[in-house]
Amino acid sequence: MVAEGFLYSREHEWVKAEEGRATIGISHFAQGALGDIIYVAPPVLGRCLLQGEEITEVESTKAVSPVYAPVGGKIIVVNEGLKDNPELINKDPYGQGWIVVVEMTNPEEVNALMTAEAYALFLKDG
Amino acid sequence: MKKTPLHAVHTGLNAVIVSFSGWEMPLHYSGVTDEHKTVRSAVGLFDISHMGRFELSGKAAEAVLDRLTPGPVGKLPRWSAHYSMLLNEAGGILDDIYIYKRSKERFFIIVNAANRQKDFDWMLHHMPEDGAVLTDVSDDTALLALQGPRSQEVLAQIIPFSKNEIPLRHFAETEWLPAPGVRSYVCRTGYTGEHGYELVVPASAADKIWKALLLAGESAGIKPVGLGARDTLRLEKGYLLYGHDINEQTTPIQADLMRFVDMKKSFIGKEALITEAASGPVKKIIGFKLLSGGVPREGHTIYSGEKEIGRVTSGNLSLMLKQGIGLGYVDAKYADVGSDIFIDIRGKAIPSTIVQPPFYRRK
Repeated sequence: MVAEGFLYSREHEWVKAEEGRATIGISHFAQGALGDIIYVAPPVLGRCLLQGEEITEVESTKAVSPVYAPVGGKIIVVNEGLKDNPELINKDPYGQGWIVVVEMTNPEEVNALMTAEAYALFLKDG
Repeated sequence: MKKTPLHAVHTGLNAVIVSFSGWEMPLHYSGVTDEHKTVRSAVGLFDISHMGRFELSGKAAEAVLDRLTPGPVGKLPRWSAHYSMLLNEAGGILDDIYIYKRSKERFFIIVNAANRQKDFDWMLHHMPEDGAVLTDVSDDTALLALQGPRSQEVLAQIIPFSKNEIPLRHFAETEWLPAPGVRSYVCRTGYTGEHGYELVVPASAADKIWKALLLAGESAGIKPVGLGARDTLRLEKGYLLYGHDINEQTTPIQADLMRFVDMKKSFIGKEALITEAASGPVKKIIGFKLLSGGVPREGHTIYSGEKEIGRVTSGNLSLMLKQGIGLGYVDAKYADVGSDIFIDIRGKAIPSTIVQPPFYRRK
């Protein structure tokens, strides 16, 4: 399931960009591949990230996986709900399972991301 | 890659399949967390047919096991079972096993999948020419585990007796209502810490009995459970996993398993244990709990202050406590319960405390 209205990275993060801000999460495919998510290391509020830098790590019952910044920017909001309910990423990856909001350094970086349609093809072709 | 008699049933249930010790096994069905909680609160059904099953019979059977394993096999009552080990001469653990005693002349033994051939060869090598016969019966049977507080009411629907509950660590031979005419073992043992059973069923009837159990357990909320939750469940109880928490380089002294060892009898590895007990073990197993967020994993380094003292051998988040828990080995002088340690999780030192497992107990 690939949700419409989001942009996607090759690392399976999604971005919803509005007015210079980007909300970031991981795709339905990514959460499915990880299995049950049991812990999300708290991202550091105020930290500045380059595109491709690690935002945080999510731990599933079997392994740990990094979440990379699909766009560069400063972390201005962190989803506090994931602290007690990391499974929100499994249950609602495009909604309550969002991870951070960043203030983008260079909003043009979103142009390098895939549309939902392109991401669906990317998943299909591996 | 080997498949259990229930392989098609698992794929039909959309299980995620992984390879484990040469077997294609279900990792999870509805999800590890859901399956874990189902076993703690209701009942879960596992296929653990990958585990090896041996029969040892003959006049010398008990004497053979008495020499090969460090536990008090001779004192084990008929139709009861105990956790034990195979040790090498150096006291190293070749495998951890479960011994079921039907009589002095007939035993059933469950061993780890990865060690099936090694154990069989080792046992055969240490048996007398006459008086005992060891048979690998793994392929004739499937092994199911029915585990959880509601397991008894489910089991009662598929075996002909229900009133005489099988006591803990005992077993019985039964006929199965879904497959009349065949008899095999129902054992009150398990690896989850819950009330539960392990069922040795004929391979030909495995599919029928599995489906009958799921149906019988419907109102109790039964779910199939994969190896993922089997691992998180056993870790919460502090049960050791062979190849991770114990191996040929660890001894029962280091692994805190001496309660299963009878030092008054003679057995392979005893001399090494006497020597080690006298000098004191160099390393000891510990259980630990993280005091802040994070998930410990096998291989993480354990520190006491700035000093590296050991390594994690099993770690995960306790799904009931929502807290990082794990097992590991440390330099014996740092192994005291209550000590403050740090687990190095990818460069971050997470404060933790040494505790005595089990990590989780029902309230």
